[in-house]
Amino acid sequence: MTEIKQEFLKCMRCGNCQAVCPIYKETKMEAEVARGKIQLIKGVTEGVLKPTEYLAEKIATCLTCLACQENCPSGVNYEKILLYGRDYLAKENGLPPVKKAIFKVLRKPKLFNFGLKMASRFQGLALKKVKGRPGRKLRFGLIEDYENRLLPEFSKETLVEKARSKQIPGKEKLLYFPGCMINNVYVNVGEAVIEVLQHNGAQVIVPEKQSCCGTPARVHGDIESAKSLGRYVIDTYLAVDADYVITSCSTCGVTLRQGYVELFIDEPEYLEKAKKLAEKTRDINEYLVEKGFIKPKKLNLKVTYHDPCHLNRKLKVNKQPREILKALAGENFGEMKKPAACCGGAGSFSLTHYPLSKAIGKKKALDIIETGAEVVATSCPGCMLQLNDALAKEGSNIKVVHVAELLAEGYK
Amino acid sequence: MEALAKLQKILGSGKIKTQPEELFVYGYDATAGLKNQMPLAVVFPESAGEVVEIVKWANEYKIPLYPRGSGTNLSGGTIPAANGVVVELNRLNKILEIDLDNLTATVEPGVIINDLNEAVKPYGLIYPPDPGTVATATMGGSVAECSGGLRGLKYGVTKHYIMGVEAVIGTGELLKFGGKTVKNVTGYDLPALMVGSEGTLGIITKIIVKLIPAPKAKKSFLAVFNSIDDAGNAIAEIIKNRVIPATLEIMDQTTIRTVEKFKKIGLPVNAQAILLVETDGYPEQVEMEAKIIRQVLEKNRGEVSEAQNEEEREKLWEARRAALPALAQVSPTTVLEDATVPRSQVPAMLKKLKEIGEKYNLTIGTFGHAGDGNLHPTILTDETNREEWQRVEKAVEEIFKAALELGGTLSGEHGIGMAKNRFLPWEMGEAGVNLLKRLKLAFDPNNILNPGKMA
Repeated sequence: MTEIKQEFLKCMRCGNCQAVCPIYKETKMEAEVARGKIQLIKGVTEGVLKPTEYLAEKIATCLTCLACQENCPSGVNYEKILLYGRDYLAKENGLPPVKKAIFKVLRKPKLFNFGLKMASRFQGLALKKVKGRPGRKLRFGLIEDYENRLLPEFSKETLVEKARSKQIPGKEKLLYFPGCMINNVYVNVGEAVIEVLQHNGAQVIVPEKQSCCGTPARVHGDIESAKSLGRYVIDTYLAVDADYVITSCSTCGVTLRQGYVELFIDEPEYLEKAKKLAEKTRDINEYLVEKGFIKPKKLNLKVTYHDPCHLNRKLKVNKQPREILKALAGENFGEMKKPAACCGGAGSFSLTHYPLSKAIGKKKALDIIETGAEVVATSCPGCMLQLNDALAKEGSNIKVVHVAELLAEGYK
Repeated sequence: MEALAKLQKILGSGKIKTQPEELFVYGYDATAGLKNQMPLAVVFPESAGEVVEIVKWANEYKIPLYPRGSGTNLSGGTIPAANGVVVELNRLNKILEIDLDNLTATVEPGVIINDLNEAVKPYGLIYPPDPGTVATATMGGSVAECSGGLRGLKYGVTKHYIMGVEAVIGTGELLKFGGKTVKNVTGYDLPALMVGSEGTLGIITKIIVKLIPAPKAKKSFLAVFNSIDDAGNAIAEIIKNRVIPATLEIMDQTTIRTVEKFKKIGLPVNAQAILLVETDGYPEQVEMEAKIIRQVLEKNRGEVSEAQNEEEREKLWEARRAALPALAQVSPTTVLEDATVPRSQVPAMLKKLKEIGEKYNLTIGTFGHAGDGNLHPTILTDETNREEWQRVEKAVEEIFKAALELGGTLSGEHGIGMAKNRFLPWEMGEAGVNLLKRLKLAFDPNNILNPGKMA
């Protein structure tokens, strides 16, 4: 508590966060920018405000893109305050029933994977195909306007299943952590990651035991579910003696590199293990540049890059993907106006706050279109999902890919 | 409450908030050490007509109104009272016109200063006032507070760029003052009166500003001094040589050391002062002025570095930009003052500030706009430490007294608001303050608009 009090005091309420908050730019409501949320969390934890549903909703209205934290002149650790507030409210109010139910399933990897398998088989019941687009749309509306969102298709085979037949030996032993979205939805990204790493001479293993990294539960205040998943991932990925653990999802990468160490701060046994895993973990872009990746052939494509928030702001991986893209596209690589601005996806935020998420995505889509690029590359499946929807809404045919997919193309 | 129900009816849903969670966050602004107050409601008008309706409603029920932009001011200018209603103007945020023939822009009050500058940039124009909050502050707020900034010395401050104002005064009448003409002596200079009125005379609904051509070239210098007097003499001498730099900034030793501690950019921690000087204009003029600036800095024993390109310029300015952020990280509370003196008195004021810091055993970092005498003594403290806070209050009083004794003013650019209104008689006398009060009543007979601020 004293630690968080210090953090509260650091905020001098200058309001500089207003300049960069994607949500504030849309709503212009003080309760929805970092300065306001910090004051609300301070108010509720000090007993000046009641822990109402309304307050919880304000604290939920955040992309956790951390642009505010980067722009904060006083060095306030906003993320720490936000998570503290969410934890506090989850304890006081409990989680909303829908999220509680989701995390309950998420917590049990076997049940979760079974559910996803079923989803891939029966997705046609709820989701219709969209002509000429890589994805589906809901057949009926549950959430405001959500029936119009372009959603990705569940893959018939998971990455784990596909990877079984792709084993080849290599000089370095890499364990790949695909994460939920790449294992089940953007399986092609996972395949590209494996191909690219193998092309660079590595042996790539995708462990059979896959689960969610736990961050969705963590950021909503369900710490027990997050810890349970964290232990599962840590145990799975430390069971094999590998040189590195590779991630290709921005958020999963941050979780393995930083999140678990914070999560298990009071659990010495897992803290040690978490540190060990953190040391071994590399984002795919980071690994390739660190090792000096084999130069690909030039692709005749105009390419731009969208920075995933967490990869950029937390792991500071932003030069590496550009180095790879420049190797592929040369002069045809061009920056968009604000490459580091959040796309508005932010995991389940896009589900719970679709109209807002869509408005933020539109700005990103327009910035991408303005570059005249044919392809927008990024390093996060969550961003890919959002960018696909946002670009489709603008009637654009710009293709959304993971950096690894383009590099795999350059190795063909 | 009957009054609020009526207001709700006037505005319709979505333009009024009464939930405690919403009200709570309109109870503060960027000012340190003031008590937060939750208003009765926050309203979000979307047209001047709605502002008129709100002011009429307030007169009917005698409920005070507190106009607000981004809430970034440093004088408590937007803090409401518990029985009042906050009028948030950030939904009135359109740039209505950029007039390239008359070099003016017409904007609504909720436009962010930077957004206006971005909009006029393609035409080779600028709107020069540049307070530290350009990326967040609204035009309405900066007009109401008469914001200054780094370029005050050469380009002046907000009041020098406001040609016309449309406002709803306290009676609920929508009035237009001034316009697009350079010359206008019809009636009193009411646009000038609205600038810096801190929301006590009217709620601004439209602003006509003057734009000027953007300078074509720039040159920046950083000079390190081992004595405050040398730095002070350099400032005076640059101006005596008929050179008016666009910016002339100073940082004292405490600030230098703090910046170096947090940023590690290689600043000399034993130096007594650093000056940052930038000249701009046509390339030939910039060359000529740069030569004089360098000569003067060197003559006064300054160790000079000159930026050769944009990258080096950015590096020089990094130190200055880091000043407040670095100071703010030292302690929980940062009290940023803006007592201002004639520029010839800057060295005397710097010495006085050092004495005050020693007397009250407080850390005061001073940086600021040396060229226009507008210094920012910044007290690093902790508002929860009651004993220290009392010393802070005493030190602040002494800073004001020192500025006035040197022929200066209580506030150069932050405003009076509720943070400094009790000191107003020191500078204006009782008669002066009474005149302000009578002026206020002429615009706002029922004392509806931002009561408790200014006089």
